[in-house]
Amino acid sequence: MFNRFILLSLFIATLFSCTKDDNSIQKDYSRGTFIVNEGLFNSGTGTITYLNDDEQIDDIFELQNPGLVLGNIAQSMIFHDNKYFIAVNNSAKIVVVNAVDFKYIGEIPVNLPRYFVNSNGKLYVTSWSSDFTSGFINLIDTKTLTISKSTAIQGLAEKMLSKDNNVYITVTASEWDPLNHHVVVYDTQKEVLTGTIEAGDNTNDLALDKNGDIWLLCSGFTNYTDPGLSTDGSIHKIVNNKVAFSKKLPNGCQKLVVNNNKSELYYLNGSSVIELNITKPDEDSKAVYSGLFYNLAIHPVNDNFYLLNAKDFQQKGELTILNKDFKQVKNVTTGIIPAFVYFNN
Amino acid sequence: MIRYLTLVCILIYVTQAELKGQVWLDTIEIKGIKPFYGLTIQPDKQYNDSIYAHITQFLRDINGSQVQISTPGGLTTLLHRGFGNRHLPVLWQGLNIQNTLNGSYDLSLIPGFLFDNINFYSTGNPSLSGTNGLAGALTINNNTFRHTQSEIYIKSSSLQNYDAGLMYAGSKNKWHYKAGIQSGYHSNRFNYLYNLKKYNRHSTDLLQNNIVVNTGYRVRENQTLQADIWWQYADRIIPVSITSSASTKQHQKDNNFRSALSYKYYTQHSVWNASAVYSREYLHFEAPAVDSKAKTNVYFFNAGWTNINRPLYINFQHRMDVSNSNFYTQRQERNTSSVSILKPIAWSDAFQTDISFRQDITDKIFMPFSWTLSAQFKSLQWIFARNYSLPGLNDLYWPTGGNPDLKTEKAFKSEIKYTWDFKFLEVKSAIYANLVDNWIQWIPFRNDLWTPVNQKKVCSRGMELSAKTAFNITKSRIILQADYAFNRTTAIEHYYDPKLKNKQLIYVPVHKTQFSALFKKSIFDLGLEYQFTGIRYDAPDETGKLTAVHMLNFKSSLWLDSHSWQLQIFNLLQQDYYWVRFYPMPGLNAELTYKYHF
Repeated sequence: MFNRFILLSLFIATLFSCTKDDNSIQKDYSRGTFIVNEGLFNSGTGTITYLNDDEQIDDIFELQNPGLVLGNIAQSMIFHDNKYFIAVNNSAKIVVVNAVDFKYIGEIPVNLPRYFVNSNGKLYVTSWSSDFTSGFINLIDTKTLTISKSTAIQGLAEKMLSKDNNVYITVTASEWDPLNHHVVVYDTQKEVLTGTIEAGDNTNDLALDKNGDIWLLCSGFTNYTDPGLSTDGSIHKIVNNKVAFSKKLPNGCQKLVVNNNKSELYYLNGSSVIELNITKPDEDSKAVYSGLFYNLAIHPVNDNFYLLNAKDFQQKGELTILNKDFKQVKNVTTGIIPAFVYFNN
Repeated sequence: MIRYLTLVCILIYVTQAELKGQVWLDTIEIKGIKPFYGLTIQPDKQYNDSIYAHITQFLRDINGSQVQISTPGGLTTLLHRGFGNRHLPVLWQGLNIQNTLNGSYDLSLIPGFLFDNINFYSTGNPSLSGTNGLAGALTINNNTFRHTQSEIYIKSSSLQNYDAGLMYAGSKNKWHYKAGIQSGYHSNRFNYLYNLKKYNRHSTDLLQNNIVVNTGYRVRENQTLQADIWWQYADRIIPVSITSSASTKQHQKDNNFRSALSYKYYTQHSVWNASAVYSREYLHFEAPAVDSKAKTNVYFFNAGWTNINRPLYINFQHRMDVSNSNFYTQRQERNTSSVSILKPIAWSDAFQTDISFRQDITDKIFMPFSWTLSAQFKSLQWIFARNYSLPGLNDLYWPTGGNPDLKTEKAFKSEIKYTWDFKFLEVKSAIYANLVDNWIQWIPFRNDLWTPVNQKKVCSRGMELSAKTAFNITKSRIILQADYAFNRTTAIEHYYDPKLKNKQLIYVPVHKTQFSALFKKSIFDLGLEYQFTGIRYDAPDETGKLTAVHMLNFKSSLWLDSHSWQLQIFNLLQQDYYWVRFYPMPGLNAELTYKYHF
């Protein structure tokens, strides 16, 4: 009699139990390609577009976390410790989600976070001060979701590249900043800045080639008040922390990537994608594809090019995927202002 | 012929205040001519500060308009029939006070209390209101020689906004004068929901002061002098979106000084008029990594002649804008001379026509010829017009990206209005179609650099209906009104991205409607108003949209001798809504105003 009563009670309970209004998709997001879309500056939210083979899921963060938005200007993301860390620049935070189901775990408050790097099992993020005069390299405690150490850098710390026990950091700077043409070197064992490498104006991006040498792209200074005072960009090869090669480039070159062979470098110059062979850097730059792109990336498995087009920065953007021969494979509609591609394969 | 040409060279600028009906100046009767827009064009909406507590309420009430409040730049702007704020001339003493640099003036800065003659024209007379007159016109003036009461008011709202004002009006011997001051502090504090949590928003921190002086002097029986001064100061935080970090600070100061002196000379057959206007505008905007200061001086001269017996208006204007801004590489200047003519023709009592022309020369270049043809036959009115819009100085001279080869926007406008007047019901209708080619839009040409281009051809077409009825019940009066506006504003040609053709322009609602009911007794009234604004797209490809807004508001007024009180309660349905995504608007809030007339 009592057992029947319990069974009946359980049955009734299931009729009235709460069901979550949840449209999230049960799936494993620990592998795939992620497009980080900035969203409208000041009046929008960043979004993440998920791609895997032929599958596309838009706004994966909002889909998996109903009622939540990422925040203003999603800048970049990285995988670490079974979580994804998403830098949301203008919201002054890093949003942390579970890598499998993309569910919200927590946030790390940090002013104007920019880009991440994994180095020797540790996770770092660059960030800026709110008055845009200085930057920081921050060590993240991925268990407690806090910043365990923050080291100040003069100028605006941007991209990072890990090699051996060092992290190399570019510094976006103006002509009045003291570190206006340097890469900063940070020791990840001692957690201190160990020096600088002087190169060209306004260091922008870094890549590592098959010889273990570092390539540094510099944009040059753009003087928005008097364009005649803008300076040239440049590209440099850094060997054993010394500049071994330098070449001038037009002002405005940015976003440096290397193919999977680590023999060819690619960057954006105006409305062209430029190729540079590491063994023949002196040769004239070769434009391999044309179009006004906001960023580019190379797939770590198939060497496909991923070119992000923000269009008019108000409507949804577009991802163009090219094969190794620069033939169009696919066009994908992204969120507003696609800014960063992350491959987690 | 020479005498005629000489006469043409002596031109008159006619203001509407001077030519209403018949004007008596001592013993001389001047047969008046209707407002300067001619015989056929009347204001579509007039500001009345016993109805509206501030200018944004008045603008929101305009059928076919969309007021954007708390925009990312902090401005309150008006989209009228799909056209932008920079397409609406805001005329003070005939001078368009829209910012010469970016074409936009923050309409919330207009102190409605200090002006007794604010009018909105849905089409107006573009060839007389000047360049940039593509979305109608808003005129701000004082009726100098008309007696008005002095008044004091104070206002307080649950959003922690406070305002006070004093307007003193009088006359003595040959003098008429009005002097007023208005001051306000707006906090705009309210709660909102974001990411499933409740937050408190302190949006603005705005301190605003205005001083207006308007004086008139009858020099002789047929001559008048008028002087006007308007000083305006605003200091505020520009709100950021709720998705942005609270530590992001944006701050703006506006400091504007405007002055005008005008002279009129009346004869039995004509009116001669000359005026000079000076305006100094200073805008200082600060944000992280931005510190821009813009100083603009505007010099404006008018001379005109009106033939009263055989109606004809001839007008000459010259305007010089001089901008010294810290983001320009050098001082920027623009000179525009204009000649305009208006010929009203009264074919009969029931049928009247106005035809007007304007030719501008800007920096020694002939601008597109502008004309307006309007006619009224009993209750039917139609207007056709061609006009153009000059690019702003920022469009032309911004150091990186400014485009000196930018073409002017060119517009063709048409509107037909009809009014049905039944015994207990008045119904007004309007259909319109407006075309703008070479629409200017900033687009990126490098990841960090933008430039304005002539991007598209835009067509705005739509319909507006307004029905009003009033009836008495014993000693009470009930007034019911319903408005509806339908608008489609799309790019019919897009020179840069054909996929954006036929998409509704952002923030322009397709449907908008309003119902109001007012119950009036002798000393008090009670009103209820429902406003519906349909969905608005906030992405040019229509992939992002803002949900429809249902706004229910309550109003009550009480008059006792020289005292009056007005209570308004907004958003009775406590809607969460945005005019711009992630800029939340207040929920339920109330405002109380007290006025004393003397």
